[in-house]
Amino acid sequence: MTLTGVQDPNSMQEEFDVIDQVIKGDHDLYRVLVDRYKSYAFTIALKILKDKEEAEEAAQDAFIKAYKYLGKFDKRSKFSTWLYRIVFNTAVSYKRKMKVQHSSVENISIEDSLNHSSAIELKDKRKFINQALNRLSDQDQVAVQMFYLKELSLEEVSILLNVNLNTIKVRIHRARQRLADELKTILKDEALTL
Amino acid sequence: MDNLSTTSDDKLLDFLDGNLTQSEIETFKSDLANSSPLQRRLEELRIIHESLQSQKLESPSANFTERVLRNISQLPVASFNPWRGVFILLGIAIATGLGLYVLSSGSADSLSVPINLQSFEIPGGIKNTLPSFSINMRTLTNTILFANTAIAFLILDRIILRPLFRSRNALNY
Repeated sequence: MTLTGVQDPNSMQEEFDVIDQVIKGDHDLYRVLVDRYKSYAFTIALKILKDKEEAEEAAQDAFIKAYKYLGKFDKRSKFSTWLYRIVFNTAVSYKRKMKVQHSSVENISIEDSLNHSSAIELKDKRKFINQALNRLSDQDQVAVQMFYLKELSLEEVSILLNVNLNTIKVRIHRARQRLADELKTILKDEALTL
Repeated sequence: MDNLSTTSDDKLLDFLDGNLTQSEIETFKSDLANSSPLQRRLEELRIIHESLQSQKLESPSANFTERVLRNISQLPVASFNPWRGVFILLGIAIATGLGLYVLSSGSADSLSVPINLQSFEIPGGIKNTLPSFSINMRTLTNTILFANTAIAFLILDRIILRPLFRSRNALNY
C-alpha cells in the first residue's frame, strides 16, 4: 500500500483477501491490518483526545470494533477509510464520556520547521499553535490535521467526517483562517509581525 | 484579518497549497507587492500552513498490535444473529396463537383438573392436612399466555433490539 491517499488496486485486493481470511477464522492475520494502520489510527485518536494513554485505548477499542464488525465492511470503500471513521467516532465518544480536558501541549508533537519567523521560539510556537487548534471544533481540528498529514485524500477526509467534499474544502479553508486569527489573538499581533 | 476579505484569504491559501495557475500567481504576486496587509496576512497563514505541514504520524506503544490481538482472542464467540431471535419469537407466537385459539373456542372453559394432594404417598402425619383443589384450564391458559407474551417482549429486547442498536452505535452509521 502507498502512503498517500491513493491506494494501489492490487494492494486493495490483497487487503480484501486478508479481510476475507480473517472473517473465515484466521484471526491472527488481523495483525497485518493492525500493523498497517495503527499509527494513523492512533494519530487520529490523539488529535481528538490530546492524551496518549486515552488515545491508545480508543485506537485499540476501534480496532476491536472493526474486527467485530468486519463482516459488515462492504468493500465499496477502502478498509482504511472505514476503519478511520470507526476510530474517529470512538475517540469522539471517549472524549464525551471521559470529559478529557488535558492540555494538549505535552502530548501533541507538531514538529517545527519554520525558518522565516524566528521571532517566536520553537517551543512557544508549538504551544501557541496547539492552543489555537484547541479553539476549533473537534471536526475542524481533525479535518485540517488530516488534510496536512496527506495520508488521506480530501474525499476520504470527507467520508471520515461524514460531510460532503465541498463542505470539507470550505471547512479546511475556514479552519486555517480561524487558526491564523486565533494565533494572532494569542500572540497579540506584535509577535507575528516582529 | 483586519481589512482583508475571505476571498483574499482563499486566494492566499490557494497560493500556499499550490493551487494557483502560473498567470494567477503572477497577478497574485503583483497584488502582494502593493499591499502590506496582504503580505502580513500571508505570513500569518504561512505560519499555520508550515506548522501543520510539519506534523508527523504518531506511533502507539510497541505492544499495541499484541494487545489488540489478545483482546480479540478474549471476545465471546457468539455474534449478533437476528435470525436466532426471530425463530424463538416465531415459536412463541405460534404457542400464543394456539393458546388464543383454545381460549376463543371455549373448550377450556368447562375443563378443570382436580388435584387431591392427599392421594400422594407422603410419609408422616402431614398427609391428612394437605388440601384438595382444582385448576381451571381457562385460568391456566391465561397464565401461560401472559407468561409467553412477557417472554416474547424480553427476547425481542435482549436478542434483537439491544444487539441491533449496540451494533449501530458502535459503527455510528
